[in-house]
Parts: sequence; C-alpha cells; structure tokens
Amino acid sequence: MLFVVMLEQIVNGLVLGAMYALLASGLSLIWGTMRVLNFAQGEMVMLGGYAAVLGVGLGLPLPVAILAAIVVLFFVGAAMSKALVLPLLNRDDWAFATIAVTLGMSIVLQNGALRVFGERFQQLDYLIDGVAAVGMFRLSWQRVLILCVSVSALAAMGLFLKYSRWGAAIRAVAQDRSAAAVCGVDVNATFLLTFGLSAALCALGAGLLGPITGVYPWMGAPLMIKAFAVVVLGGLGSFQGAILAGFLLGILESVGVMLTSSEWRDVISFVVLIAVLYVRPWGLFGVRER
Amino acid sequence: MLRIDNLNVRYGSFQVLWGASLTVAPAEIVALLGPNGSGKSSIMNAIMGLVARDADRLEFDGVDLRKTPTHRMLDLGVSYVLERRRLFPYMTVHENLMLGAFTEKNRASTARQLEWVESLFPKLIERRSQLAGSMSGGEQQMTAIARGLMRSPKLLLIDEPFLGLAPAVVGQIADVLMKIRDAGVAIFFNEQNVKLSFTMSNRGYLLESGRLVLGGPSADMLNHPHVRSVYLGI
Ligand SMILES: Nc1ncnc2c1ncn2[C@@H]1O[C@H](COP(=O)(O)OP(=O)(O)OP(=O)(O)O)[C@@H](O)[C@H]1O
Ligand SMILES: [Mg+2]
Repeated sequence: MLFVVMLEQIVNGLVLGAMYALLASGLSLIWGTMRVLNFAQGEMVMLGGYAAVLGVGLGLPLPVAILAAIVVLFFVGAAMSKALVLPLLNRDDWAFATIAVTLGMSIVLQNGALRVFGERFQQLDYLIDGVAAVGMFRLSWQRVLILCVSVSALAAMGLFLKYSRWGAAIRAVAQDRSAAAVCGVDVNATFLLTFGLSAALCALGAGLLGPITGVYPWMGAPLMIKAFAVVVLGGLGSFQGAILAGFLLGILESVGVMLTSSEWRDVISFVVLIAVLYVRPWGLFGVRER
Repeated sequence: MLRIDNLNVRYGSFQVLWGASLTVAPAEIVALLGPNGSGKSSIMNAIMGLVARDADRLEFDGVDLRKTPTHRMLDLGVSYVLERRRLFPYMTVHENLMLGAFTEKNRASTARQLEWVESLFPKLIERRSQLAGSMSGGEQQMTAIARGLMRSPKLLLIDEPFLGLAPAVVGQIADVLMKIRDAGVAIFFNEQNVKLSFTMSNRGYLLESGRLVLGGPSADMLNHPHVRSVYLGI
C-alpha cells in the first residue's frame, strides 16, 4: 500500500515537475541568450490560461483553443520583449533596468487581469476525463496527458535548438553575441524568437494545468518562484538543466510532502536549492563559468 | 573596394581613433600595424558596426556601411575574424563552420566552401565533431578563419591572426592567408609583429595612439626609417 501511495506521489511529482520544466526552461533560455531574468514569465502562463478560456468562450474546441493560445502567446512574448526589453539592452544599466521592467510588467499584467477578468477562478475543462487504473494504482488521464504532452513539447524544443537553423542561432547568440552577429545572425530577431518561444511554452503549461488549478490573475506567481529555484538548481542558462531540475524538484516536493505535510513543500524546495548551491554553485547541470 | 575617409571612434567621450582614412582593393593583403591599445581592434569593430563610429565615408563596393547593421555585412561580402578567435565554445568545429554560412541559402555553395576551407586546413577534418572550446589556440584560429570564409566573402578582416601562437603555427597560417588572397579574397588584418606582417602583405598602415601615421607598399614600410628604428630596432 505504501508503495502504491509512493508511486502515485512520484507521478504527481512528475506532473508538477513538468509545469516547472515548461516555465523554467524558457526562463533559462532567455537568461542564456540575453542575460535577462524575465520576472513576467509567470504572467505568460496566466495570459496563456486566459487566452485559452477566451478561445473556448468563442466556441473553439478546447485543444484548438489551447493551440491558439500558444500561438497568441508566442506573439505576445515577442512583442513585449520588442517594446519593453530590447530598447534597454544598449544602456549601461541594462542589467538592473531589465529586472525593473519585467517585474513591473508582471505587476501590471496581474492587476490588469484582475481588472479585466475579475478575481473569480475561470475553469478550463479536462482534455480527457477518466482515471487510468492499474491494480491499486490510479491516475487521472489528464495527468498522464500533461506528462506526455509537456515531455514531447520540451523534447521538440530541444531538437529545434540542436538541429534547426534558428536553434543554432539561439545557441550562437547565447555563446557569443558579437561573433553571432558577424556570422550574419540578426541578434535582435533571435531575442524576440527566444522570448516568443518561452511564452509559448508557458501557454502550453497553462492549457495543461488550467483544468486542475483554474485560471486566475495571480496563477503565475507561485510557479514563477519555483521556476527561479529550478533555473538556478539546473544551472543558469542551461535548457536541459532546467528540465531535469524541474522534474527533480517536482518529485522531491511531492514525496517530501507525503513524508511531512504540505506546509513543508516550499521549505523542501529551498532547502534543496541552498544545499545544492553550497556544494555546486553553478547548479546541478550547469557549467562552471570561466 | 573598401573605402574609409576620416573615421572616428569614441567610447563615451573618450576618443580612441582620430580621422583614419584607408582603402583595401580586391585580392590584396593589407596589414595594419600598431602597438597595444593603439586602436587596431577599434578600426575593425568600427567597420563592422560593432562600435559606434562616424566617418565622412565608410563604404564597401559603393554601399554605405554606416547604414549597414553588423549582421548584414556578410551578405555584402565582408567577413570578420574577431580578436581571440571568438568561436562558439560549446559547439563542434563543424557547427561553428556552418554558422559561418548562416545566411547562405544555396546549399551547394556552402558544401563547396566547406570543401575548400577543409582543404586549406586539413587538420579541421579530423576535428569536425570536437567542441571548439577544447582545441588548441592554433586549431581555434584555423577554425575561426575557416568560419570566416564559409560565406564566400570578398574581404576578410582578421584581428591579430597570430596572437599567442607557436612560431610553427604562425608560419602555417601566414601561408594559408596568402593562398586565400591568391584565391581572390582580399584580406585586411592587424598585428603587432611588424616584420612578418609587412613581409606577407602587399600594403600596410601604421597606427599610433589612434592616428594612422604611415601607409604604403609593405616593402617601403619595412624600409621606412621610423619603422626601422622604433619597431625593428635597427
Ligand atoms: N569598450 C571600450 N570602452 C572604453 N574604452 C575602450 C573600449 N575598447 C577599447 N577601448 C580603449 O580604446 C583604445 C584602443 O583599443 P583597441 O582595443 O582598439 O586597441 P588595439 O590596438 O586593438 O589593442 P590590442 O593590441 O591590445 O588589441 C585603448 O585605449 C582601449 O583602452
Ligand atoms: Mg585589439
């Protein structure tokens, strides 16, 4: 019996971890290419959630609404970075200025959403109903779906980065901005693409998680704090590191909560984070800065 | 081909390049000599648009470079090997080379250039799948020059091609640069090694404290009293 509960918690942890990974991998990608911490990343989840809700309201079938939300958020992310972040990058104080602006964006978006949509939770339907049962082991199909879809999306993103032309451009800009420009890579276009892709991953997360948590103005905030922990844990700027650390933290939290109680969830994450940083300041999967 | 009149570079209010005028013609090697901090890199970076600059004229094949962003330079035919090679350290040699052809739509042309640069630097063939950051300085410089040739440039700028290399490698790279010139690609490079640079180039310039003080055929530069007394100690 304990074994079954344990297994269920691990699967729950993987589902939670998938969310962390979707958010954190984008965060890490943005940091890696632009050295910018996007404090509004959680709000991309929230906007993605509302975009899906609106799509359903317009009569779109749920999967189509989620796909539309992903596309919309790609452009929202790109537009936001073009209007608010890119103009700051040539300033001497860009490091602080970008933090201030993305943090401000986060607050404006939360309050804007509260204004426009109200504080009532909006519900997205489950993409699939029902429960998978193997012996005593029970798991809702929605959770299975979250896992499969997010893992596939992250894998697709990884393949894109590794093998596509623009994926190579993103990696090149991350490793040496001037050298990339000299090679003919439009660095600003790469920045927009990175922001857009990260926001799109967030929208996917919202479409998957929305049915479980609901969609509300500050739904991104708690995820965001964890995503920061995950990015640091995985190694700043490492895409794979963020994914692995996301799943790891999800499992640790879920199993830890089972052994203690749910108030301990955040304590567990940050104790792990601090312990890891003490031993490996560059994160679990990151590379040491030269 | 490359024409520069009265080029100035300032970092904030601190001017480091004063009224530089120079030209590079097709298929010639032009060397820019100058001591540390004289502004050699600043000239290169200014041509490429990597630093803010002003000039009365800054053009390549009649195109105004003052209106050309860095990432369009390669499409015009101007390629640049930055100081200290600046490879993408976590990419393989092959990935680095392919990024040199990022804007090339014609795959056949990329394949042809790849074959050519690998024939210039046969060592790179066995290093294809090695991470660029893990190679020796000489191999990195070869990769950097090879990357700079992937998009079939008309002009190759190189910032200190021989920096920190063993004498044997220096000779090897100098030979390849002359081969590249003979294949029709003009080269404009900067260096501190006066003798070698003026031996392998067609023309040269001397830069001191941000001002071009001398210019002419390399043989004349080598025999110039100022160059001989200050730089060659003769
Ligand atoms: N980004 C910068 N900001 C401020 N000053 C700079 C900057 N880059 C270079 N300088 C200054 O401009 C002057 C010329 O530098 P530059 O790098 O062009 O010289 P260089 O001839 O290439 O030197 P080296 O032989 O060391 O490569 C130096 O005094 C340098 O300190
Ligand atoms: Mg220099």
